[in-house]
Amino acid sequence: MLAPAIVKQVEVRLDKLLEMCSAVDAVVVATLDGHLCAMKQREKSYSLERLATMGSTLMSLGDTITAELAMGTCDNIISENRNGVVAFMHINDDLVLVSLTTSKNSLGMLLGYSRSCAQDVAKMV
Amino acid sequence: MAHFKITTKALNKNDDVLFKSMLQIVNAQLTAEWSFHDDAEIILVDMEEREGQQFWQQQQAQRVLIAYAREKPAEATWFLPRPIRVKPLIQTLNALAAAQQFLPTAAASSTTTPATTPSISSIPSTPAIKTASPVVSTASLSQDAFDPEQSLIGLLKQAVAKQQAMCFQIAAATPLFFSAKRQQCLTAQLQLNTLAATPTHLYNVSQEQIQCEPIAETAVIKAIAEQGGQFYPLAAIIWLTALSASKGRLIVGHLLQQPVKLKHWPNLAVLPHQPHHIRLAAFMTRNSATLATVAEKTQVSIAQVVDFFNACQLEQLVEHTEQAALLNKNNVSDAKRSLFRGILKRLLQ
Amino acid sequence: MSEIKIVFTGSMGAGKTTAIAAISEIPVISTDVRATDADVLQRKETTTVAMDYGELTLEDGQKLRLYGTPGQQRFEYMWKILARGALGLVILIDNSGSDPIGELVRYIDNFREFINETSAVIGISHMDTNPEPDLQSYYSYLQERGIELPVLPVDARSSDSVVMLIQALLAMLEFG
Ligand SMILES: Nc1nc2c(ncn2[C@@H]2O[C@H](COP(=O)(O)OP(=O)(O)OP(=O)(O)O)[C@@H](O)[C@H]2O)c(=O)[nH]1
Ligand SMILES: [Mg+2]
Repeated sequence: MLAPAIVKQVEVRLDKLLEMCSAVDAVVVATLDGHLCAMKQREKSYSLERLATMGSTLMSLGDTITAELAMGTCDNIISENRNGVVAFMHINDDLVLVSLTTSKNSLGMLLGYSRSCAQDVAKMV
Repeated sequence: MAHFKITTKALNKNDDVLFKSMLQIVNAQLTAEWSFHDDAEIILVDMEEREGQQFWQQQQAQRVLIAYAREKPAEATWFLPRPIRVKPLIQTLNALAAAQQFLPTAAASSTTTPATTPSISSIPSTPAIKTASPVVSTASLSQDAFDPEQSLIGLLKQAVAKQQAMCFQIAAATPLFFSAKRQQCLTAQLQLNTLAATPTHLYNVSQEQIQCEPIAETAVIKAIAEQGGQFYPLAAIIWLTALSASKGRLIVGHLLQQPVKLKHWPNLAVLPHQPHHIRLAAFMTRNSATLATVAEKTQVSIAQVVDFFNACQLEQLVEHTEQAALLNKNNVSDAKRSLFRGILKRLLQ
Repeated sequence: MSEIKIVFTGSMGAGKTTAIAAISEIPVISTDVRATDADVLQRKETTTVAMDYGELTLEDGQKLRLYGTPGQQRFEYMWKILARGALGLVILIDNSGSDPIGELVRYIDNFREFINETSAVIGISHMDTNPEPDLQSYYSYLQERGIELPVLPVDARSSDSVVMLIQALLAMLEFG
């Protein structure tokens, strides 16, 4: 788990993500074994603890699949849905970032901003 | 001399002819008289044929089935390796005859079983609780009852009471040691399957046949260091002895027609067992039934049901109930049953 | 007919992943990752976050599929997904945990409907290092609740021991 001081830093970076990209509605950083480390959302509309755990499940399934196919580690998993998009990506070997948008047409923005956020977080931890 | 009749099921023509002629050839070397009869209750079943397997699965309580195959199927008590050879044939038939003599069944001819002797084999193969015959009700009180005190169990109890380390042995077979200090037994590895195929051994003979010598605790450790072996809880040896020495006779003080249930599963991680014991445990922990019903529902022979019941009784697992209460288990289709068999077969490979 | 699958569930560290690996004929597909919880790390390095998957081929070519669930409560949503359509359930409980009987109750309650429709067998692991609570304590607890399931000691590292549990499960499905 992350030290409190680092969690603060990470939270600041997540705030910045919401600021920079208006399409992102919520973002979570979780350990690969399903613990929530940091989260931010525009309105209190999601149970982000559960999202953190499910994110770890999905990410590790992604890793299992890409390992099976010898495609290296899994960079992102994208879930496109009727009412929005969810993206799951590795920050490093131990952390996952899950971000989501309710606007269906913002997949590109969601992925781009989330990826650079993940890279910054990787440098902090 | 006892007389047994035997027949075959699902054997191909060559094997069938071979078996009949071999039976005649070996007859002089058999401890009982054996003859071939189409309607015999002792049946050699070819387990490598579909017909044989199906027949095996519908096995009825009063029949004694001998599996004929290259490898011994896990569910078989009696086994004759393929192809038929003189020596294994003699061994199998003699072992079977020895076991049958303790348990006069329909398989043995009536000359060895006086019609008046009540025996558990007089239970009809599909008994209904309400129609249990009066003969059955007196069975447990007959001289045919199994008295654990007359087996190795009695000797072990004495050793425990006296707090004395002992060595038990018959003939030149591997001895069993009892350590009073550890309250455990020590012997070479026990294989129930092997024991079941051996006519006489320490665990199925009566007390008088067992040599029993007090020894020093240190001698126990020394003997095992020299001969190899492992510790067994006392309960495991008592359990094994009950299974082996009962020979289909109900334990003293019990009535056959009384419905029974098990309080919970025997600890099969420690107690030696065979696949049919697992079936019996599953059925008897969920249903309250007479032993005849248990045999019918689980397709295990009544003799084996009785042996298992006796062992459970000594483990204090048995609960007597006023009335039989059977769960209605009709939802298991034939397809599922055969799937379960398939899985079991794969697991036990 | 149900899918030919058996599901291993039960407490964290009880040996679900180990048990499936002990009997599967294919390399187990595992989703174990490095654990961060202190109570997990005391016992082992990794924990399952999605599922384990192993296979056995039956004589007629059909596959028996073996699924393991994550043990930790926060992955509970995976339990139902994995159990759907299974023949039966193997519940493994780690006897060295702080409240193993409580854990068992939790799993039985969670899977109650599934167990009523199919069946289950309970394997208690780590009894070699932690003999207490003994089997009788488990049975007493279950009997109070009117539950008649087999409780057997298991060492998840031994295939014989795991096979014994599945044998008991099959017997329960057919005769119990
Ligand atoms: N001493 C002992 N160790 C055991 C026994 N059974 C399993 N183990 C060990 O306990 C550990 C079990 O770990 P896993 O198989 O990962 O447990 P799991 O149930 O999959 O755990 P989660 O996926 O975290 O829920 C392994 O290190 C096994 O070697 C046992 O009976 N005795
Ligand atoms: Mg696991």
